[in-house]
Amino acid sequence: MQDIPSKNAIHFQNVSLVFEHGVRLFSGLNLTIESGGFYFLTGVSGAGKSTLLKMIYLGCKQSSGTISLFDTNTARISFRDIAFLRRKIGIVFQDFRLIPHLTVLDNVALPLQVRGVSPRKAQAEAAELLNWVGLKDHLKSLPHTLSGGEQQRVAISRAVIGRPKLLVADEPTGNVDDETALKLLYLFEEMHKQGTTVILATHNRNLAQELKYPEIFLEKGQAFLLEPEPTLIKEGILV
Amino acid sequence: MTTHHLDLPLKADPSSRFLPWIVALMGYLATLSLMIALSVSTLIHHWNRGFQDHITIQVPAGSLFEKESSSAHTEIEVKVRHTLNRTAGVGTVKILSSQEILEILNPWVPKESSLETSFLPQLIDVEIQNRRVFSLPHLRQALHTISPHIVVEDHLTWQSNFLDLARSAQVISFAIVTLIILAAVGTVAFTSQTSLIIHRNIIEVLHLVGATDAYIAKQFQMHAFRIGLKGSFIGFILSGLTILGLQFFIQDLHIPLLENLLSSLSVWSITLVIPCLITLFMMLAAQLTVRLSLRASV
Repeated sequence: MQDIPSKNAIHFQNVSLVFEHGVRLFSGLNLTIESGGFYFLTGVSGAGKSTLLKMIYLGCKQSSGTISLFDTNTARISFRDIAFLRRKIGIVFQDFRLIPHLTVLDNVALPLQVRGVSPRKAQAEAAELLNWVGLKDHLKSLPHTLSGGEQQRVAISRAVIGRPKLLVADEPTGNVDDETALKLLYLFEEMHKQGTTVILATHNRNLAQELKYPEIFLEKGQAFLLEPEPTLIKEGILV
Repeated sequence: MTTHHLDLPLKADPSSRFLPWIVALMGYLATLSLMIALSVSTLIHHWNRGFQDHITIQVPAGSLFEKESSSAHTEIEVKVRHTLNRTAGVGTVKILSSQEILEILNPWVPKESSLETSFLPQLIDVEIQNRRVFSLPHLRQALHTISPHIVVEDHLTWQSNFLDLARSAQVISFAIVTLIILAAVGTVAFTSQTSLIIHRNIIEVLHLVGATDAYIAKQFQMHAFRIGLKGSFIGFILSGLTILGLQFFIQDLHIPLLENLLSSLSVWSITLVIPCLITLFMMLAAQLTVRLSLRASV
């Protein structure tokens, strides 16, 4: 897959998602997220924030419609290319999903190792990043020995170590105190400044409004793009 | 792609505790089976080569026949020899001495016993140089005219039945080796699928950080390699010890099959293939099972 700059990081066209038990979450959802932007994904609990992120990182398939990532239709790529496409995406899970038997260092080095980077080089880069996020004393620790905030930083380090083109984070500040939350947001802003498209899912709309970044608001199976000022611009971008 | 450790904790799986011992048992049985098959093969080759070129002629002892005096018996021998020399396809003719006959009889009649050698038939070992021109019926007829009591034994006639039996044993041994390898493959496929279920959460994370199915399958393959190598070599060593133990306990019996096993370096070298084959097939089974399962789960 060629790594050429794409105008849109994400493009949802008329996407619907119906669960096996018949519940419809999204219906004809349209959304375009331009490359290099910083967005908050908001909505009430159960609006589908986590599911939308899951569809973005190809962890869940839509029932109908088209999803394109970096101008690539995800329905038309091979199994092998799905792995390569995912390497362009950094994911921070709400429950961290660190691998319990691996050390902090190995967890962070993992995305590089699956790309074929030598263990020595991957660990050196991981150590540098962990030092930067203040975890240099925990390189050999197992995840369960860390606090929630520390685990969150490990999860974020794992998400960003591969220098992804798109970073999606599900409630990244949900389990940490205010001071740590600000540090994490600073880290995401740094990624954004380096050209990474960032999407942060949060239930806290005040946070989105304080930081003056566009907000994708989910309601009744539709996505609404809101500018920093709480003004409704239009329903979806391409609608 | 080099990994210094496994991202999946496969070593901690319950199957990892018992699988090496199952593989060791498989390796043990497969190695013994192959050793038997190879030894039988060596014996068949030996018999084929040794018996194809020879026939034996028995001239009954003169004293057993009232009508034939000792001088008449010598005369029969001379006539037999003369007939053999004129028969097409016959090579060297060797009349076995009493000592040589007693050695042949040694397993049944110990040397120490005082056997009256005059009762023994005279044995003549005849080498057949050319089977194409040699005619056994003609020789039998010619010898019958000399004495109706002369017996001609062509080893090929009874050897074929014996060879059939040996070949059957060989085929059964190879079939056992094949079945054991298939059992190893089936066991690995089953345990790999179980491990995929146990570690589905970690596998999902690996996929989401960009791991390909091949990367994940390689972890299972490496695990199968370690278990296969460890288990099958334990089995190989145990089978070697078994053969050595057998040699120690029954060394006086001079069982040709066992002697062949122990003396043939080539048999030992070839049986080394067993642990390698088991390991290789286990790796392939793990790789294939994981890839197919991951593809099916998409």
